[in-house]
Parts: sequence; C-alpha cells; structure tokens
Amino acid sequence: MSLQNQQVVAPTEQTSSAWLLDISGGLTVAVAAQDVIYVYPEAPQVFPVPQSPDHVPGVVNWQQRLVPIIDLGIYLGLPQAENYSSAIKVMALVTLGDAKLGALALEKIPERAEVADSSQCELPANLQAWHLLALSCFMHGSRGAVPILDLNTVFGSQLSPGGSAQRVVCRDRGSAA
Amino acid sequence: MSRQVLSQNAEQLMAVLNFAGLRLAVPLAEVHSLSSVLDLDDSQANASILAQVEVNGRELPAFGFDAELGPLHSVPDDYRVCVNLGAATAELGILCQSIETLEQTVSEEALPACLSTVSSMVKGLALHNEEVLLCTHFSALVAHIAAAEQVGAGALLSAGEAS
Repeated sequence: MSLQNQQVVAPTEQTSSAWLLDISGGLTVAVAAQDVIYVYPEAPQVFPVPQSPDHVPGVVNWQQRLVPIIDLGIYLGLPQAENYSSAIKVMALVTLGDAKLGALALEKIPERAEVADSSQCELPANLQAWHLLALSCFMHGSRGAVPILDLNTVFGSQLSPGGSAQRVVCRDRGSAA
Repeated sequence: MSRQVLSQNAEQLMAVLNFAGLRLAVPLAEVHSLSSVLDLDDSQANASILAQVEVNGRELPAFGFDAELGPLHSVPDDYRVCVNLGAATAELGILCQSIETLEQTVSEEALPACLSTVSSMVKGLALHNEEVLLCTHFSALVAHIAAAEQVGAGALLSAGEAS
C-alpha cells in the first residue's frame, strides 16, 4: 500500500498527523491519524442489514466483531460518478473510543497529511451538514478545505432517519435541487 | 449517547428462519410450534396477512417477508414452513423456507445506532459460524408489522383480542 505524505505547512511549525479520506462523490474528509486502525486495500465481504439507512451498506466482520459501515457520500446525497458502482472499493476501519469501531467506505487508499493549527479554515458552505459532522476544517494545498470528521456523530444515531443530522442533509439536498 | 459498536446482550438459544437469502434469528423460547403451509387457510388473505394458521383452536394471522424484510402479498412456492411465535402463547405465524435451531447459545449484539431505524424488526446481530444472523423477537415483529401495515396490525390485534 503506497501512502504519501502531504506537507501543507511550514517545516518549522508543529503539526498533527491526519488521514485524508476520499469518500464517494468526490469529496475529501480527514480524521486524526490515530483514528484509523486498518485500511482494507480490497473491500472485505459486506453483510447487508435489511431496513437500515441507505448510507449504511451493512456490517463487516473484523476479528469476530461486527462493525457498521458508513458511506458518507451517499449520506450527503453527493452526485455519484456515472460509472459509480455500489460495490465498495476501499474501506478504512476507525476507532471511536471505548473499544468501538466503525468502517468508512472510500474511493481510494487514504493519504497522510500533516496539519497545523495555522491551516484551520471555515467549513465549506455548500453543505450545512458539515456543521454537525465535522469538528473543524483545514485548508489543504491541493484539495482545498477538508472537514475533519466527528466520528462519534458519523456513527451515531444522528444520521439515522429522523436524526438531527439527517434533517440538515435533507435541507442540503433541497438546496442543491 | 451513540452506540456505534455492538454492545453485547445475554446469550440465549435461538431458532433461525431461512428465507429469501436471509437468516432471521428469534429466541427459541418464543417458538411455540410449526405448521406446514399446506395447512394454512388463505381464503381470508388481505393486503397484509398472507393466510391464517390454526394453532390450538385459534386462527392466527400468518405473515411473510422478502429479502428486504418487506411484507409479502403471496406465498412463494419455496416458503414451506409456518413458525408460530408468541411471548406466552402463539400469536402469529411467520412463513419461511426452513427453520433450524442452533445447538449452542448465540451471543446477540445490539444493533449499532447508525443501523437502527424505528420500524426495523432487526434489533440485533450475531455471528454464527462466520455468518451474520439478523436477530429479532416477537414484540419487535409485532411492532414492525403494525408500522408496515395498519390493516395487518388491526387484524393482528383482532386475533389477539379474540384469543
């Protein structure tokens, strides 16, 4: 697996490591480096769970633990590429604290980035949902504003139908239309 | 507080209903009897109830579900068993292709918050021989049927009141 470092700050400034995650729909989000515990270079077997939200393709068996998968691009209603396949290509296993795990469906293998406080910026204005899903945001040299995910919200009940984040996303989709 | 990871419930003996490629596990204690679909009465079937099954002199509503756990409106040819379920006594039948009882207890884990929807009958998941079991129970089935089909709920409640 090839992982590239993206230096986005002056060499003398103290930085924190993060992973850049490309979600379906062409957006990039980030999580702290220590939050990603494994990257599936090829998607593992996904067990669908009927009657679950559309953005949750199912669960994956990780060392005898069933871990829910989130496809944020679908959740945000982002337009998918014409050749977009529902099959998940790459998946990142993230830790949520208290020994809890989640998996994020991705388009590509994640990249590392070094993030400095000075690169903090406003959340992108195009999606109101970022205010619920993201803790903060930083400006990346080539990718622009990159929201840093609040993983406990992403994997919490707020994204379920009727949840607070779901209502915001519905407004986003309405605006986009 | 969100519960992203499956918190563990008590282990219990389960029966697994196989249909439409799904494996739906219910507590063995809630399985009262089995009937053949050949013994079902579909003369009063409606939009939500597939048929009626007689259990101990009572006519109970029987339901069936597809691969998305949506209600069936006709009995598929390969659904051959009616599993009669209830908390204390049998209250409804669920049609399936086959049923098996698991020899060992299953450790059911609560459904993660991000997977939950209010009306879903799936309340937990379990791993059994590298397969994922969808776990439900009688009261969750009743709530699901009531939410999905008001007519069916009425019929279910009527059946319950008549007993």
